[in-house]
Amino acid sequence: MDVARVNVSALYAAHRVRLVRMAVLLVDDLGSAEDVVQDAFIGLHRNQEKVRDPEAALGYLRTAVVNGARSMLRRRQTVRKHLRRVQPMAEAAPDSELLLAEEHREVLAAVRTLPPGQQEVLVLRYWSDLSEADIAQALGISRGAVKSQASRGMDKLEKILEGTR
Amino acid sequence: MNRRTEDRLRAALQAKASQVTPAELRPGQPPQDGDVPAGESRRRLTHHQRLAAPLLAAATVVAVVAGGAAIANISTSHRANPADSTTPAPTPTDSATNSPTATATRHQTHPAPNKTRARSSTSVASSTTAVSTPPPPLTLILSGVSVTLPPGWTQIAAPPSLTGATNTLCATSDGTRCDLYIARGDDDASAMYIDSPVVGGPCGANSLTDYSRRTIDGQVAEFRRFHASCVGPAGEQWFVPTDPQIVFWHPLGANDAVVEQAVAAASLPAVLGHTPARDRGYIQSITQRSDGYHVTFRRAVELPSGPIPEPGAASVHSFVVPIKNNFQSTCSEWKIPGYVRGQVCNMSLWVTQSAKGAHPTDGTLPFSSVEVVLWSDSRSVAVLQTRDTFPGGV
Repeated sequence: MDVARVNVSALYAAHRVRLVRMAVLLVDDLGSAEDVVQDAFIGLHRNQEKVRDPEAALGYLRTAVVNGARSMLRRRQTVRKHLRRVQPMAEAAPDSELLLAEEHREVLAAVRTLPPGQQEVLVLRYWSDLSEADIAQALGISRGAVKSQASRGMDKLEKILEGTR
Repeated sequence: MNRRTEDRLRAALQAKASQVTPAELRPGQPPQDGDVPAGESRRRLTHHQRLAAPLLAAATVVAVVAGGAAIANISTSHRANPADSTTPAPTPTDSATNSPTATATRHQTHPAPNKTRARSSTSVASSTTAVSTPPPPLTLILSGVSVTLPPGWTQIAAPPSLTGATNTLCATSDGTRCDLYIARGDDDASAMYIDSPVVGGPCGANSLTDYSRRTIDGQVAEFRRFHASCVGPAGEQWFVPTDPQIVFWHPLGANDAVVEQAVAAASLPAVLGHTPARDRGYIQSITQRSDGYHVTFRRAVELPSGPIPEPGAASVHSFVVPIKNNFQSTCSEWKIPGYVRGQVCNMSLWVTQSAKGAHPTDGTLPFSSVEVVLWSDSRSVAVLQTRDTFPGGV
Protein backbone atom coordinates (compact mmCIF):
# COMPACT_ATOMS: atom_id res chain seq x y z
CA MET A 1 0.00 0.00 0.00
CA ASP A 2 1.31 3.42 -0.98
CA VAL A 3 1.55 5.40 2.22
CA ALA A 4 2.33 9.01 1.38
CA ARG A 5 4.49 11.23 3.54
CA VAL A 6 3.03 14.57 4.43
CA ASN A 7 3.25 16.85 1.44
CA VAL A 8 2.99 20.45 2.59
CA SER A 9 2.41 21.80 -0.92
CA ALA A 10 -0.51 19.43 -1.49
CA LEU A 11 -1.97 20.29 1.89
CA TYR A 12 -1.54 23.95 1.07
CA ALA A 13 -3.39 23.58 -2.22
CA ALA A 14 -6.16 21.54 -0.64
CA HIS A 15 -6.73 23.26 2.69
CA ARG A 16 -5.45 26.81 2.58
CA VAL A 17 -8.77 28.40 1.65
CA ARG A 18 -10.72 26.40 4.20
CA LEU A 19 -8.26 27.26 6.94
CA VAL A 20 -8.38 30.95 6.00
CA ARG A 21 -12.16 30.77 6.25
CA MET A 22 -11.85 29.26 9.69
CA ALA A 23 -9.32 31.90 10.70
CA VAL A 24 -11.58 34.70 9.43
CA LEU A 25 -14.26 33.48 11.78
CA LEU A 26 -11.79 33.69 14.64
CA VAL A 27 -9.98 36.96 13.89
CA ASP A 28 -12.58 38.80 11.79
CA ASP A 29 -10.33 40.24 9.12
CA LEU A 30 -9.03 38.59 6.02
CA GLY A 31 -5.48 39.96 6.07
CA SER A 32 -4.83 38.70 9.58
CA ALA A 33 -6.48 35.39 8.76
CA GLU A 34 -4.20 34.89 5.78
CA ASP A 35 -1.13 35.70 7.90
CA VAL A 36 -2.21 33.27 10.59
CA VAL A 37 -2.70 30.47 8.07
CA GLN A 38 0.58 31.18 6.26
CA ASP A 39 2.41 31.05 9.58
CA ALA A 40 0.72 27.74 10.38
CA PHE A 41 1.95 26.26 7.10
CA ILE A 42 5.45 27.60 7.71
CA GLY A 43 5.36 25.89 11.11
CA LEU A 44 4.29 22.65 9.49
CA HIS A 45 6.95 22.97 6.83
CA ARG A 46 9.59 23.32 9.53
CA ASN A 47 8.24 20.36 11.43
CA GLN A 48 7.35 18.05 8.58
CA GLU A 49 9.89 15.51 9.72
CA LYS A 50 7.90 15.13 12.92
CA VAL A 51 4.42 15.17 11.38
CA ARG A 52 4.32 12.35 8.86
CA ASP A 53 0.62 11.61 8.68
CA PRO A 54 -1.50 13.98 6.52
CA GLU A 55 -4.42 13.70 8.94
CA ALA A 56 -2.19 14.59 11.85
CA ALA A 57 -0.78 17.40 9.74
CA LEU A 58 -4.26 18.81 9.29
CA GLY A 59 -4.78 18.63 13.05
CA TYR A 60 -1.44 20.38 13.51
CA LEU A 61 -2.53 23.13 11.11
CA ARG A 62 -5.87 23.62 12.87
CA THR A 63 -4.16 23.94 16.22
CA ALA A 64 -1.59 26.32 14.78
CA VAL A 65 -4.33 28.46 13.24
CA VAL A 66 -6.26 28.64 16.51
CA ASN A 67 -3.10 29.54 18.42
CA GLY A 68 -2.10 32.08 15.80
CA ALA A 69 -5.57 33.62 15.95
CA ARG A 70 -5.34 33.89 19.74
CA SER A 71 -1.98 35.65 19.50
CA MET A 72 -3.35 37.96 16.85
CA LEU A 73 -6.33 38.87 19.02
CA ARG A 74 -4.10 39.42 22.02
CA ARG A 75 -1.86 41.76 20.03
CA ARG A 76 -4.91 43.57 18.70
CA GLN A 77 -6.33 43.95 22.19
CA THR A 78 -3.10 45.50 23.40
CA VAL A 79 -3.11 47.96 20.51
CA ARG A 80 -6.76 48.82 21.15
CA LYS A 81 -6.08 49.49 24.82
CA HIS A 82 -3.44 52.03 23.82
CA LEU A 83 -5.67 53.56 21.19
CA ARG A 84 -8.59 53.90 23.58
CA ARG A 85 -6.52 56.21 25.72
CA VAL A 86 -6.42 58.58 22.79
CA GLN A 87 -9.77 57.94 21.16
CA PRO A 88 -12.50 55.56 22.31
CA MET A 89 -13.34 52.99 19.67
CA ALA A 90 -16.71 51.44 18.99
CA GLU A 91 -16.72 47.69 18.49
CA ALA A 92 -18.18 47.80 15.02
CA ALA A 93 -18.83 44.81 12.83
CA PRO A 94 -16.21 44.24 10.13
CA ASP A 95 -17.07 45.92 6.81
CA SER A 96 -17.39 42.60 5.05
CA GLU A 97 -20.35 41.73 7.26
CA LEU A 98 -22.37 44.60 5.84
CA LEU A 99 -22.91 42.41 2.81
CA LEU A 100 -24.46 39.63 4.83
CA ALA A 101 -28.15 39.26 5.50
CA GLU A 102 -29.37 41.04 8.63
CA GLU A 103 -30.17 37.68 10.16
CA HIS A 104 -26.54 36.55 9.86
CA ARG A 105 -25.12 39.86 11.06
CA GLU A 106 -27.21 39.63 14.18
CA VAL A 107 -25.92 36.16 14.99
CA LEU A 108 -22.29 37.07 14.29
CA ALA A 109 -22.54 40.16 16.47
CA ALA A 110 -23.89 37.98 19.26
CA VAL A 111 -21.05 35.49 18.81
CA ARG A 112 -18.53 38.30 19.15
CA THR A 113 -19.82 39.08 22.62
CA LEU A 114 -18.93 35.60 23.89
CA PRO A 115 -15.63 34.87 25.65
CA PRO A 116 -12.89 33.88 23.17
CA GLY A 117 -12.83 30.26 24.32
CA GLN A 118 -16.54 29.82 23.66
CA GLN A 119 -16.25 31.51 20.29
CA GLU A 120 -13.49 29.10 19.29
CA VAL A 121 -15.46 26.05 20.33
CA LEU A 122 -18.57 27.23 18.47
CA VAL A 123 -16.63 27.99 15.30
CA LEU A 124 -14.88 24.62 15.32
CA ARG A 125 -18.08 22.80 16.10
CA TYR A 126 -20.64 24.58 13.95
CA TRP A 127 -18.52 25.66 11.04
CA SER A 128 -15.61 23.23 10.91
CA ASP A 129 -17.92 20.38 11.98
CA LEU A 130 -15.17 18.86 14.10
CA SER A 131 -15.84 16.17 16.65
CA GLU A 132 -15.46 16.92 20.34
CA ALA A 133 -12.20 15.01 20.33
CA ASP A 134 -10.82 17.01 17.41
CA ILE A 135 -11.91 20.29 18.98
CA ALA A 136 -10.29 19.29 22.24
CA GLN A 137 -7.08 18.49 20.39
CA ALA A 138 -7.14 21.72 18.39
CA LEU A 139 -7.74 23.88 21.44
CA GLY A 140 -5.60 21.92 23.84
CA ILE A 141 -8.44 21.37 26.32
CA SER A 142 -10.34 18.34 27.58
CA ARG A 143 -13.44 16.95 25.91
CA GLY A 144 -15.42 17.88 28.99
CA ALA A 145 -14.28 21.46 28.64
CA VAL A 146 -15.33 21.43 24.99
CA LYS A 147 -18.81 20.26 26.00
CA SER A 148 -19.22 22.84 28.71
CA GLN A 149 -17.85 25.70 26.61
CA ALA A 150 -20.18 24.77 23.76
CA SER A 151 -23.15 24.47 26.05
CA ARG A 152 -22.48 27.76 27.83
CA GLY A 153 -21.78 29.50 24.57
CA MET A 154 -25.00 28.30 22.99
CA ASP A 155 -27.04 29.22 26.07
CA LYS A 156 -25.63 32.70 26.07
CA LEU A 157 -26.10 33.05 22.34
CA GLU A 158 -29.70 31.96 22.62
CA LYS A 159 -30.39 34.51 25.33
CA ILE A 160 -28.77 37.31 23.36
CA LEU A 161 -30.68 36.43 20.21
CA GLU A 162 -33.96 36.14 22.08
CA GLY A 163 -33.29 39.56 23.54
CA THR A 164 -32.90 41.09 20.11
CA ARG A 165 -36.25 39.73 18.87
CA MET B 1 -29.96 23.42 23.26
CA ASN B 2 -32.27 25.08 20.81
CA ARG B 3 -32.06 23.55 17.36
CA ARG B 4 -33.10 26.78 15.72
CA THR B 5 -30.23 28.69 17.35
CA GLU B 6 -27.83 26.01 16.17
CA ASP B 7 -29.15 26.33 12.63
CA ARG B 8 -28.91 30.08 12.73
CA LEU B 9 -25.35 29.94 14.04
CA ARG B 10 -24.32 27.41 11.44
CA ALA B 11 -25.85 29.49 8.66
CA ALA B 12 -24.28 32.74 9.85
CA LEU B 13 -20.82 31.22 10.16
CA GLN B 14 -21.17 29.62 6.75
CA ALA B 15 -22.29 32.88 5.17
CA LYS B 16 -19.35 34.77 6.62
CA ALA B 17 -16.82 32.08 5.78
CA SER B 18 -18.04 31.82 2.22
CA GLN B 19 -17.27 35.49 1.71
CA VAL B 20 -13.67 34.35 1.53
CA THR B 21 -13.12 33.15 -1.99
CA PRO B 22 -9.87 31.84 -3.42
CA ALA B 23 -9.73 34.71 -5.87
CA GLU B 24 -9.86 37.18 -3.02
CA LEU B 25 -6.84 35.79 -1.23
CA ARG B 26 -3.37 37.11 -1.77
CA PRO B 27 -1.51 34.92 -4.24
CA GLY B 28 -0.27 32.18 -1.97
CA GLN B 29 2.84 30.07 -2.11
CA PRO B 30 3.44 26.94 -0.07
CA PRO B 31 6.18 27.68 2.45
CA GLN B 32 9.77 27.27 1.35
CA ASP B 33 12.93 26.63 3.34
CA GLY B 34 13.95 29.83 5.08
CA ASP B 35 10.43 31.31 5.25
CA VAL B 36 9.83 33.04 8.55
CA PRO B 37 6.42 33.58 10.17
CA ALA B 38 5.24 37.18 10.00
CA GLY B 39 5.77 37.99 13.66
CA GLU B 40 8.93 36.02 14.10
CA SER B 41 11.37 38.37 12.45
CA ARG B 42 10.66 40.80 15.26
CA ARG B 43 11.16 38.20 17.95
CA ARG B 44 14.28 36.44 16.73
CA LEU B 45 17.14 38.91 16.81
CA THR B 46 20.67 37.81 16.08
CA HIS B 47 23.40 38.16 18.66
CA HIS B 48 24.68 41.33 16.94
CA GLN B 49 21.21 42.78 16.67
CA ARG B 50 20.63 42.21 20.38
CA LEU B 51 23.86 44.07 21.19
CA ALA B 52 23.13 46.83 18.70
CA ALA B 53 19.57 47.49 19.88
CA PRO B 54 20.37 49.38 23.12
CA LEU B 55 23.11 51.36 21.38
CA LEU B 56 20.71 52.30 18.60
CA ALA B 57 18.10 53.34 21.14
CA ALA B 58 20.61 55.52 22.98
CA ALA B 59 21.72 57.12 19.72
CA THR B 60 18.09 57.82 18.84
CA VAL B 61 17.49 59.55 22.17
CA VAL B 62 20.55 61.73 21.63
CA ALA B 63 19.42 62.59 18.10
CA VAL B 64 15.90 63.46 19.24
CA VAL B 65 17.17 65.70 22.04
CA ALA B 66 19.61 67.43 19.68
CA GLY B 67 16.93 67.82 16.99
CA GLY B 68 14.44 69.21 19.51
CA ALA B 69 16.94 71.80 20.69
CA ALA B 70 17.64 72.87 17.11
CA ILE B 71 13.90 73.26 16.36
CA ALA B 72 13.43 75.26 19.55
CA ASN B 73 16.17 77.62 18.41
CA ILE B 74 14.63 78.07 14.98
CA SER B 75 11.14 78.82 16.32
CA THR B 76 12.54 81.28 18.83
CA SER B 77 14.34 83.19 16.10
CA HIS B 78 11.13 83.15 13.96
CA ARG B 79 9.10 84.76 16.72
CA ALA B 80 11.78 87.38 17.14
CA ASN B 81 11.52 88.39 13.49
CA PRO B 82 8.86 91.13 13.01
CA ALA B 83 8.57 90.41 9.27
CA ASP B 84 6.89 87.09 10.14
CA SER B 85 3.96 88.61 11.99
CA THR B 86 1.75 88.24 8.87
CA THR B 87 2.67 84.62 8.36
CA PRO B 88 -0.58 82.60 8.48
CA ALA B 89 -1.11 80.48 11.56
CA PRO B 90 -0.84 76.70 11.09
CA THR B 91 -4.63 76.35 11.51
CA PRO B 92 -6.14 79.18 9.51
CA THR B 93 -9.69 77.82 9.15
CA ASP B 94 -10.97 78.60 12.64
CA SER B 95 -9.36 81.96 12.80
CA ALA B 96 -10.58 82.81 9.33
CA THR B 97 -14.18 82.12 10.37
CA ASN B 98 -13.86 84.19 13.46
CA SER B 99 -11.81 87.09 12.03
CA PRO B 100 -12.94 88.78 8.82
CA THR B 101 -9.75 90.78 8.62
CA ALA B 102 -7.60 87.74 8.74
CA THR B 103 -9.76 86.08 6.09
CA ALA B 104 -9.38 89.01 3.77
CA THR B 105 -5.63 88.93 4.16
CA ARG B 106 -5.40 85.22 3.64
CA HIS B 107 -7.38 85.21 0.43
CA GLN B 108 -4.18 86.30 -1.23
CA THR B 109 -2.42 83.05 -0.52
CA HIS B 110 -5.00 80.43 0.49
CA PRO B 111 -7.83 78.73 -1.35
CA ALA B 112 -11.17 80.50 -1.23
CA PRO B 113 -13.42 79.70 1.71
CA ASN B 114 -16.09 77.08 1.18
CA LYS B 115 -18.98 79.43 0.55
CA THR B 116 -17.20 81.20 -2.29
CA ARG B 117 -16.19 77.92 -3.86
CA ALA B 118 -19.64 76.48 -3.51
CA ARG B 119 -21.21 79.44 -5.28
CA SER B 120 -18.78 79.37 -8.15
CA SER B 121 -19.13 75.63 -8.65
CA THR B 122 -22.91 75.98 -8.67
CA SER B 123 -22.76 78.57 -11.37
CA VAL B 124 -20.41 76.41 -13.42
CA ALA B 125 -22.74 73.50 -13.00
CA SER B 126 -25.79 75.44 -14.07
CA SER B 127 -24.06 76.91 -17.08
CA THR B 128 -22.89 73.40 -18.03
CA THR B 129 -26.44 72.10 -17.67
CA ALA B 130 -27.71 74.75 -20.01
CA VAL B 131 -25.53 73.57 -22.88
CA SER B 132 -24.93 69.91 -22.02
CA THR B 133 -26.41 66.93 -23.82
CA PRO B 134 -27.91 64.01 -21.88
CA PRO B 135 -25.28 61.67 -20.38
CA PRO B 136 -24.36 58.76 -22.61
CA PRO B 137 -25.29 55.19 -21.76
CA LEU B 138 -22.82 53.27 -19.60
CA THR B 139 -20.95 50.43 -21.26
CA LEU B 140 -19.14 48.02 -18.98
CA ILE B 141 -16.38 45.98 -20.55
CA LEU B 142 -14.74 43.09 -18.77
CA SER B 143 -12.28 41.08 -20.85
CA GLY B 144 -14.51 40.44 -23.78
CA VAL B 145 -17.85 40.89 -22.00
CA SER B 146 -19.68 44.06 -22.88
CA VAL B 147 -22.93 45.27 -21.29
CA THR B 148 -24.66 48.57 -21.99
CA LEU B 149 -26.84 50.23 -19.38
CA PRO B 150 -29.09 53.29 -19.73
CA PRO B 151 -27.88 56.88 -19.25
CA GLY B 152 -27.50 57.79 -15.60
CA TRP B 153 -25.94 54.48 -14.61
CA THR B 154 -22.36 54.57 -13.36
CA GLN B 155 -19.66 52.14 -12.50
CA ILE B 156 -18.55 51.92 -8.86
CA ALA B 157 -16.09 49.72 -7.06
CA ALA B 158 -17.47 46.32 -6.21
CA PRO B 159 -17.51 45.54 -2.49
CA PRO B 160 -14.05 44.26 -1.54
CA SER B 161 -15.22 40.84 -0.48
CA LEU B 162 -16.84 40.25 -3.87
CA THR B 163 -14.31 41.65 -6.24
CA GLY B 164 -12.04 38.66 -6.35
CA ALA B 165 -9.38 41.37 -6.64
CA THR B 166 -9.80 42.17 -10.28
CA ASN B 167 -12.48 40.16 -11.93
CA THR B 168 -15.75 41.76 -10.85
CA LEU B 169 -17.39 44.92 -12.17
CA CYS B 170 -20.29 46.68 -10.51
CA ALA B 171 -22.84 49.06 -12.06
CA THR B 172 -25.24 51.23 -10.12
CA SER B 173 -28.30 53.27 -10.98
CA ASP B 174 -28.26 55.42 -7.85
CA GLY B 175 -24.59 55.53 -6.92
CA THR B 176 -25.03 53.51 -3.75
CA ARG B 177 -25.60 49.82 -4.32
CA CYS B 178 -24.48 47.45 -7.05
CA ASP B 179 -27.48 46.73 -9.25
CA LEU B 180 -25.48 44.55 -11.58
CA TYR B 181 -22.30 42.58 -11.02
CA ILE B 182 -20.34 41.08 -13.86
CA ALA B 183 -17.60 38.59 -13.18
CA ARG B 184 -15.45 36.18 -15.11
CA GLY B 185 -14.97 32.89 -13.41
CA ASP B 186 -12.15 31.46 -15.46
CA ASP B 187 -9.46 32.38 -12.96
CA ASP B 188 -11.37 30.54 -10.32
CA ALA B 189 -14.93 29.51 -10.83
CA SER B 190 -15.51 29.45 -7.12
CA ALA B 191 -15.10 33.19 -6.88
CA MET B 192 -18.39 34.48 -5.63
CA TYR B 193 -20.73 32.13 -7.38
CA ILE B 194 -19.71 28.51 -7.19
CA ASP B 195 -19.38 27.01 -3.80
CA SER B 196 -20.50 24.51 -1.32
CA PRO B 197 -24.16 23.86 -0.77
CA VAL B 198 -25.02 23.80 2.89
CA VAL B 199 -27.68 22.08 4.87
CA GLY B 200 -30.08 24.96 5.22
CA GLY B 201 -31.69 25.93 8.50
CA PRO B 202 -34.65 28.27 8.73
CA CYS B 203 -32.47 31.12 7.50
CA GLY B 204 -29.65 28.95 6.42
CA ALA B 205 -29.79 29.34 2.72
CA ASN B 206 -31.43 30.89 -0.22
CA SER B 207 -33.64 28.73 -2.31
CA LEU B 208 -33.95 28.52 -6.03
CA THR B 209 -37.33 29.72 -7.25
CA ASP B 210 -36.75 29.78 -10.96
CA TYR B 211 -34.39 28.06 -13.35
CA SER B 212 -34.28 28.26 -17.11
CA ARG B 213 -31.90 28.23 -20.00
CA ARG B 214 -31.33 31.54 -21.72
CA THR B 215 -29.30 32.63 -24.69
CA ILE B 216 -26.88 35.52 -24.47
CA ASP B 217 -24.98 36.49 -27.59
CA GLY B 218 -25.65 33.04 -29.03
CA GLN B 219 -24.29 31.21 -26.00
CA VAL B 220 -26.21 29.11 -23.52
CA ALA B 221 -26.63 30.68 -20.09
CA GLU B 222 -28.22 29.23 -16.98
CA PHE B 223 -30.70 31.62 -15.42
CA ARG B 224 -31.58 31.31 -11.74
CA ARG B 225 -33.72 33.36 -9.44
CA PHE B 226 -33.32 33.01 -5.69
CA HIS B 227 -35.43 33.64 -2.66
CA ALA B 228 -33.86 34.15 0.76
CA SER B 229 -36.01 32.40 3.31
CA CYS B 230 -35.69 35.16 5.88
CA VAL B 231 -35.52 38.29 3.79
CA GLY B 232 -37.61 37.52 0.73
CA PRO B 233 -36.60 37.86 -2.92
CA ALA B 234 -32.83 37.85 -3.13
CA GLY B 235 -31.56 38.08 -6.62
CA GLU B 236 -31.12 36.61 -10.03
CA GLN B 237 -28.16 35.25 -11.85
CA TRP B 238 -27.20 34.51 -15.42
CA PHE B 239 -24.32 32.06 -15.60
CA VAL B 240 -22.45 31.15 -18.77
CA PRO B 241 -20.98 27.76 -17.84
CA THR B 242 -18.66 27.25 -20.75
CA ASP B 243 -15.07 28.46 -20.87
CA PRO B 244 -14.68 31.38 -20.23
CA GLN B 245 -17.29 31.35 -17.48
CA ILE B 246 -19.24 34.58 -17.09
CA VAL B 247 -21.60 35.53 -14.29
CA PHE B 248 -24.12 38.34 -14.13
CA TRP B 249 -25.74 38.90 -10.76
CA HIS B 250 -28.57 41.28 -9.95
CA PRO B 251 -30.09 41.85 -6.49
CA LEU B 252 -33.86 41.93 -7.02
CA GLY B 253 -35.96 44.90 -6.06
CA ALA B 254 -35.09 47.74 -8.41
CA ASN B 255 -34.31 48.01 -12.09
CA ASP B 256 -35.18 44.35 -12.63
CA ALA B 257 -36.45 44.89 -16.17
CA VAL B 258 -33.56 47.22 -17.12
CA VAL B 259 -30.96 44.72 -15.99
CA GLU B 260 -32.68 41.81 -17.67
CA GLN B 261 -32.76 43.71 -20.94
CA ALA B 262 -29.12 44.77 -20.66
CA VAL B 263 -27.91 41.24 -19.91
CA ALA B 264 -29.97 39.78 -22.75
CA ALA B 265 -28.28 42.24 -25.12
CA ALA B 266 -24.73 41.73 -23.76
CA SER B 267 -21.84 40.63 -25.96
CA LEU B 268 -19.68 37.76 -24.78
CA PRO B 269 -16.19 36.56 -25.69
CA ALA B 270 -15.96 33.55 -27.99
CA VAL B 271 -16.32 30.11 -26.41
CA LEU B 272 -12.89 28.60 -25.78
CA GLY B 273 -14.10 25.23 -24.57
CA HIS B 274 -17.10 23.43 -23.22
CA THR B 275 -15.51 22.30 -19.98
CA PRO B 276 -14.81 25.11 -17.52
CA ALA B 277 -11.21 25.47 -16.41
CA ARG B 278 -12.26 25.05 -12.82
CA ASP B 279 -15.53 23.95 -11.39
CA ARG B 280 -16.91 23.04 -8.01
CA GLY B 281 -19.66 20.65 -7.14
CA TYR B 282 -20.47 17.00 -6.62
CA ILE B 283 -19.46 13.96 -8.59
CA GLN B 284 -22.61 11.95 -8.93
CA SER B 285 -21.07 8.89 -10.48
CA ILE B 286 -17.86 7.50 -11.88
CA THR B 287 -17.69 4.37 -13.96
CA GLN B 288 -14.64 2.89 -15.59
CA ARG B 289 -14.77 2.09 -19.31
CA SER B 290 -12.15 1.38 -21.93
CA ASP B 291 -11.75 5.02 -22.95
CA GLY B 292 -11.47 6.34 -19.41
CA TYR B 293 -13.53 7.18 -16.36
CA HIS B 294 -16.99 8.47 -17.21
CA VAL B 295 -17.91 11.14 -14.73
CA THR B 296 -21.25 12.79 -14.07
CA PHE B 297 -20.76 16.02 -12.23
CA ARG B 298 -23.22 18.44 -10.71
CA ARG B 299 -22.19 22.03 -10.23
CA ALA B 300 -22.78 23.84 -6.96
CA VAL B 301 -23.98 27.42 -6.96
CA GLU B 302 -23.39 30.29 -4.62
CA LEU B 303 -24.76 33.79 -4.27
CA PRO B 304 -22.96 36.80 -2.89
CA SER B 305 -24.99 36.41 0.29
CA GLY B 306 -24.10 32.78 0.75
CA PRO B 307 -24.21 29.38 -0.87
CA ILE B 308 -27.39 27.63 -1.88
CA PRO B 309 -28.22 24.01 -2.39
CA GLU B 310 -28.63 23.42 -6.09
CA PRO B 311 -31.81 21.40 -6.54
CA GLY B 312 -32.69 19.24 -9.49
CA ALA B 313 -30.43 18.32 -12.30
CA ALA B 314 -30.02 21.83 -13.61
CA SER B 315 -26.26 21.87 -13.71
CA VAL B 316 -25.34 18.30 -14.44
CA HIS B 317 -22.74 17.59 -17.04
CA SER B 318 -20.78 14.54 -18.03
CA PHE B 319 -17.25 14.05 -19.28
CA VAL B 320 -14.54 11.45 -19.63
CA VAL B 321 -11.34 11.46 -17.60
CA PRO B 322 -8.40 9.69 -19.24
CA ILE B 323 -7.34 6.54 -17.36
CA LYS B 324 -3.82 7.81 -16.73
CA ASN B 325 -5.10 10.93 -15.06
CA ASN B 326 -3.97 11.48 -11.52
CA PHE B 327 -6.58 12.50 -8.96
CA GLN B 328 -4.78 14.63 -6.45
CA SER B 329 -6.65 14.09 -3.26
CA THR B 330 -5.95 12.61 0.12
CA CYS B 331 -9.62 11.86 0.84
CA SER B 332 -9.02 13.34 4.26
CA GLU B 333 -12.56 14.56 4.58
CA TRP B 334 -14.18 11.48 3.19
CA LYS B 335 -13.96 8.25 5.13
CA ILE B 336 -13.95 5.26 2.84
CA PRO B 337 -13.66 1.73 4.25
CA GLY B 338 -10.29 0.35 3.42
CA TYR B 339 -8.81 3.80 3.13
CA VAL B 340 -5.57 3.95 5.04
CA ARG B 341 -4.55 7.18 6.70
CA GLY B 342 -2.17 9.05 4.49
CA GLN B 343 -2.92 7.00 1.43
CA VAL B 344 -3.36 8.94 -1.76
CA CYS B 345 -6.99 8.75 -2.73
CA ASN B 346 -6.79 7.27 -6.18
CA MET B 347 -9.41 6.80 -8.85
CA SER B 348 -10.13 3.18 -7.98
CA LEU B 349 -11.34 4.23 -4.54
CA TRP B 350 -13.66 6.74 -6.14
CA VAL B 351 -15.02 4.12 -8.52
CA THR B 352 -15.50 1.61 -5.70
CA GLN B 353 -17.36 4.12 -3.56
CA SER B 354 -19.45 5.29 -6.49
CA ALA B 355 -20.60 1.71 -7.11
CA LYS B 356 -22.16 1.64 -3.61
CA GLY B 357 -24.85 4.04 -4.76
CA ALA B 358 -26.74 6.72 -2.89
CA HIS B 359 -27.13 4.73 0.33
CA PRO B 360 -23.97 2.73 1.12
CA THR B 361 -24.82 -0.15 3.43
CA ASP B 362 -21.46 0.04 5.18
CA GLY B 363 -22.37 3.33 6.83
CA THR B 364 -20.03 5.47 4.77
CA LEU B 365 -21.09 8.74 3.24
CA PRO B 366 -22.68 8.45 -0.16
CA PHE B 367 -20.32 9.15 -3.00
CA SER B 368 -22.25 12.19 -4.11
CA SER B 369 -21.87 13.83 -0.72
CA VAL B 370 -18.28 14.81 -1.36
CA GLU B 371 -17.77 18.24 -2.78
CA VAL B 372 -14.87 18.48 -5.16
CA VAL B 373 -13.06 21.09 -7.14
CA LEU B 374 -12.49 19.97 -10.68
CA TRP B 375 -9.74 21.29 -12.83
CA SER B 376 -9.36 20.81 -16.52
CA ASP B 377 -7.38 21.99 -19.47
CA SER B 378 -8.09 21.22 -23.09
CA ARG B 379 -6.90 17.63 -22.67
CA SER B 380 -7.86 16.30 -19.29
CA VAL B 381 -9.92 16.73 -16.15
CA ALA B 382 -8.79 16.10 -12.60
CA VAL B 383 -10.16 16.39 -9.12
CA LEU B 384 -8.00 18.95 -7.43
CA GLN B 385 -9.31 18.47 -3.96
CA THR B 386 -12.16 17.17 -1.93
CA ARG B 387 -13.79 19.69 0.29
CA ASP B 388 -16.69 19.59 2.67
CA THR B 389 -18.84 16.59 3.03
CA PHE B 390 -22.53 17.08 2.78
CA PRO B 391 -24.30 14.39 4.78
CA GLY B 392 -27.20 12.95 2.90
CA GLY B 393 -25.78 13.71 -0.49
CA VAL B 394 -27.17 16.15 -2.96
